[in-house]
Order: sequence, then structure tokens, then C-alpha cells
Amino acid sequence: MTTPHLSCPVAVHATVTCRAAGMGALRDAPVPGAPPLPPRFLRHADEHTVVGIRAVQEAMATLGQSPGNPRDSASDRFAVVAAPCGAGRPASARTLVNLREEGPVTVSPHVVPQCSLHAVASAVSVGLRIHGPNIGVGGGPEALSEAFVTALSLLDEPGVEGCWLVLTAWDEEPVLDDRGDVPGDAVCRAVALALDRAATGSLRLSLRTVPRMAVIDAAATSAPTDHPSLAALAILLDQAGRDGGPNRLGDCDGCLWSLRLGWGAMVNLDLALPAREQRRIAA
Amino acid sequence: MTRAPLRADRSAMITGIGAVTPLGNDFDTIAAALLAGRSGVVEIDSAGFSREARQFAAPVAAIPAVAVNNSLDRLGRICLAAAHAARADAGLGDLRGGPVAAARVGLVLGIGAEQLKGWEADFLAGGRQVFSPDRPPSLVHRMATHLGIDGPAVTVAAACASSGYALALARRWIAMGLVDVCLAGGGDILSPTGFAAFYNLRALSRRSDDPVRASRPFDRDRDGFVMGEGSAVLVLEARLHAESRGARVRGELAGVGMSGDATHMVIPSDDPTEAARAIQLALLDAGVTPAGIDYVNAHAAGTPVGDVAEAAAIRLALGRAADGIPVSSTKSMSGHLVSAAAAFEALACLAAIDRQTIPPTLNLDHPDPRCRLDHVPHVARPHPVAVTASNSFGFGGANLCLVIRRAA
Repeated sequence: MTTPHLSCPVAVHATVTCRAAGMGALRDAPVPGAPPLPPRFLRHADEHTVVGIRAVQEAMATLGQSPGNPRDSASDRFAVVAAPCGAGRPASARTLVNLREEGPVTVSPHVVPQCSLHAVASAVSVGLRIHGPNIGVGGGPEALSEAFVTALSLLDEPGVEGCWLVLTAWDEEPVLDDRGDVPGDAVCRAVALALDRAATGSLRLSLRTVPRMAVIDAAATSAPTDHPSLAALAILLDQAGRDGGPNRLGDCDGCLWSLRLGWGAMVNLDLALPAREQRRIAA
Repeated sequence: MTRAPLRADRSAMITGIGAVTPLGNDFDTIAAALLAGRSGVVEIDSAGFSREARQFAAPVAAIPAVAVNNSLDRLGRICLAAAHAARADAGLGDLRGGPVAAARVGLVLGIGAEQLKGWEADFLAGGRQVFSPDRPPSLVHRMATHLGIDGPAVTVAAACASSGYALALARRWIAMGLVDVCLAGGGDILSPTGFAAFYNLRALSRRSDDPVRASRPFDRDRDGFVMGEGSAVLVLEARLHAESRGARVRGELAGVGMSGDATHMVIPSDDPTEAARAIQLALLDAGVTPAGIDYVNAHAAGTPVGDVAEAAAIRLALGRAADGIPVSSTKSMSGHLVSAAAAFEALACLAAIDRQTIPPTLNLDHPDPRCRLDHVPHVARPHPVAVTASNSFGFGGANLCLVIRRAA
């Protein structure tokens, strides 16, 4: 058994944070420098989809402004892997209340395309016209760990040129009222990472495994050992974007952020050396 | 990052099959039903399901008792039963102490709406989980624990192509050396919300006066699909690993192609370019030409728009070779298993290879002239089958093609 090491530069990243009360305005707000969405595209979209697609747009806008970047910001052949945690709950609650009170005639035809696990990935693909595969991942509290291994694996598929990895979650899962509405101060957050083999970004995502026999014990498990906070990752990425990222999170040595998986793997987000620095060391 | 070359010793061999479906709960029963042209569509108790006075679907008849576990809901029990059966069919016992104890084993499930269906079942039983911030572990992790799987475990969703993407991801993990063995497939269940949503979307057939004839892919008079439920799980195993333990090999998942229409959240594109690209990528990945394909298991669910779009994609991808390649849709018998459909249809391809016979498309009385293909209407067709292609398309423009071939 080999011990694979998967790794890919992050060409660009963006984070988006929005309170539930501000979600309406975010649905229709254009992102300067990013490809526009079709009119009213997010009208029926779940909160996770709204912040997730917005984060990709923000990242595309940044990428488009990078001088000399060889990639088209639309990245037509990128895959989209979106890992929402608990998405679709408010709309599902409203649907179920109406179903019980008034019967199946009230069930919206949008509930399947907009509240299923694939919804965020599909919306990014359709809304931004990205023709690689679009896949929802996770859905539960393990979504973050499932997303990284899936995205890094898909990069090897034929025809896939890169991958938009989109992570979404409420900072704290809200308690819904009896109609399924979310408290206005609940915060929904998204992180978008563009994984691109050809990029020379300042971040690198990697997954390392240890040999199988080294982890064979009763504690080995497919589930992640913890459920890291997306908010913490987003804040760290924002800091890294501002000042080069001296802060670190996790127990890796020298990396920006890490996530230990229960099955003998570690996901690291490293600060890559600038290209000029890499050339100097090589010389 | 460089693409990992596909090494022959890490080809993804299919060494186990497990299923819980409207057509039976084991490979031989399902294969016999498919080749006999037996429909799993029946009239069901319509309470809570739709506005139709008479409702029909393709339900699972019985969930094998081995998997009855009070901690799991219906979806979980169906998926776990299929996974148990796949593990047994592969000759794998306890994954921690059996013949693969030294291997890393993974699990990938294609499930499109696990949370929604869990909230629904709880709510209709009087619960309030949907309002609560509590987040129970996903089914895939609970199943992994139950099965003794200690490698990576992931839930993926691409609507009606979900379980096909699960198989594709499992194959990739094997090729990369991330796992040696991986259980992969998907599951779905009939549910009031799903039924009503698809009905209100006008995606379901309304032929309630004649349920068995309602699922009619490629037919001129089709009016939508018939909901089904079930689970299909395959054991994929690196060739060298399978050979070293003397495993029975039922076939090889030899190629995968995937793409996105990027045109609409529900309606497939009327431009077949991207769907055809998925088929072409799968053939290229498998190293076969269009003329080398012996059978296409179509996604064809029986929707007016979708079947025409798929026929155009098959023609574009296969060119003139399409004139001589038998095509059928087994959804005419199984109904549409939604998240589980692609894995079930991979099983149908294995049945065609095993029995050297193409399963038919039932109810194909008058082929739609816009779906000009080499159809196999009504009855199975004996035919040499070594290489098959299975299409799956889903909401959000998800396109997938799997090439499955006879084990060399």
C-alpha cells in the first residue's frame, strides 16, 4: 500500500459572511469584477447557496484582477465541490409545516433542486457557467473533512482542470421558529478556494496519509476526530490575505491550518513560498 | 499537482454486489427480473404522497432483516442492508479481522437528501429535529462504524447521478492508492416531500390508471418518470489486491467521464455537447472506441425533455457507431431510484455482461422519432456483451458516464 500525498496550489480564496437579516440584499447584489448571475437566479436559493456563490464570485473578481494570471476567471472546466453543513433546513421546515397543515399541493417544486445536498454546487456551476462536474459533499457535521479529500481526488479525473471548493456553515446552527424562520442575527459563512495545478498562489492545500498499518488500532475511524469551525478557518484566511498570515491554527508544524482525519490522514493548508522565493532556494 | 497515472494493478475491479431494490435483493434475482422484463411498479398507499387518488411507485418489497437496526431510519436500513450484502458477496467478513484486515477500506455513498428525509421522517412522527440546531452524524459515518470501515467515508450528491459519482470517487481513491477496497453506491427512499415536489414539478408520470405501463422511456407517449426507491452498493477493489486474495471478479469499472451542462437547475440542456463530453471522456478513460461499446444503459427516465436530450448526446458521442449499439432504459422496470439509480444501473450492466443479454425497455410501443437509437423494446436481446456504458444525468446539469467491462 502506498502512502499518497495529494497537494494543489490555491490560486485564490475568498470568504463571505452574512447575517440572516441581510440575506435578501445579498441575493440581488452584483459583485464588481465577477461574472454576473442570471436575473433573479438566487430567488429560491437556500442561505448556504447565497453565501457560497457569492464567495466564488468574490474569488473570481480577485483572480480577474491578478495581473498576468493565466487563467480565465470563469475557469470553464473546473469542478465544483460544495460542502454545506445542514443546508436547506429553514426551507425544509417551512415545507414540512405546510405539508402537514395544507397537504402536498403546497410543496414547492424548488425544494428538491434548491434544498438537496447538490444545490450549492449546482448553483455555482449553473449561475457562473462552469462546465466541470458539480458535486455536493457531506451535508452533516463532518462536511469539512469530506470536502477536502473529495476535492483533491477529483483533480485527477479526466477533463477536470481545477476545482472550486466551497464550504458553507452557520457560525452557530440556529434554532428555527415554528414557521421555520431563522433569527435575523444568525450568521452564515462561506469559504471559496480555487484549486488550480497551474497556479502560483500563496496557499497550498495538501492531504497526507500515513501507512495503513501505522493506524490500525481500535481508535481508527472513518469519521473526523473533531468538527472544526468554518468560522475559524475563514477568519484565518482573511488574516492571511491581509498580512501574510503569521497566525496559525491546528497542530501542524509551520502550516496555516490543519485538520486531522480519523483514518490516518491530515489535511494541511500551508502558506506557499512566493514564486520568487522558491526560485531563490532552488538556485 | 500531477495526475496520477492509472496503473493496471490499481484498476477498480468489482468484487461484490449488494442491493435492496423493487426488483429484488440479490444479483441473481435482479438480473433475472431485468431480463424477464418484470416491472417493479405497483399501486401504493397514497396517503400523504400526492394529490392523485391512486398513486403508484416502485417500492422496496422488504428490507433484509440482517440490517434492522433501531438506531437507523428507513433510508439507513436500506443502505446498510445493501452494504452488508455487498460485503458478503465479496467474501469479506469482519473488515477489521477478515481477509482485508491489512487494507485500507473506504465508503462512499451517493445520497442526495439525507438530512431532508431525516427531518421529514422525524417531523411527520411528531418530532422537532428540523427546528433544532443538533446535528447528528451522517449516515455514511454511522454505517462505516457498523461495518468496521476505518478508511475515508464520504457522502456525495449530484441529484440523480449521485451514486454514479460515488462509484467514480471510489475508483479514483483506488487509483491514487488512498484505499485498497471501497464500498460505493447510494440509496434513496420514497417520501411525501419528494413525491409532492417531483409531482408539482410535473416530472412524474400521471398515468395512474395503468401503473405498470407508466414508465415508458423513449416512447412517444411518455409523460414523466415513476418514483422508485432502494439501494445498490458495489465493492470496488484494486486489481492486485483482489487477485492476491483470490476474489471473484464480476467486472471492472474501467472508465469515468463527468461534466456539467451549466444551463439550468432542473432542465437538461438542449445542447448535447456537455452530456456527450461526459460519454466521450469515459470512453477515453477506459481506452475504448465507440465501436467497442456493446451496450448503453441509458439514464432515460421517461421525461419528455430528458430522453430527447440523452438520445442526442449518445448520437453525438458515439457517432455512426450508435446505429449498431443496443440501448435500453432499465428504469422502465425499476422505476427511478433517484440517488441510487446510477449504482443500480451499474448492476444492470453487470447483469448484461454476466448473462450476455441486453435487458429491454418496457412499454416502448412507439419509439419517439426524436430518440433514434438501436432500442431493445419489450423483450431482452441475446447479444455478446463485454463493454458497457451507463449514463446518469441529474438536476443542476450533472452528467456522468461509467464504462463497465467484463473482467479480463
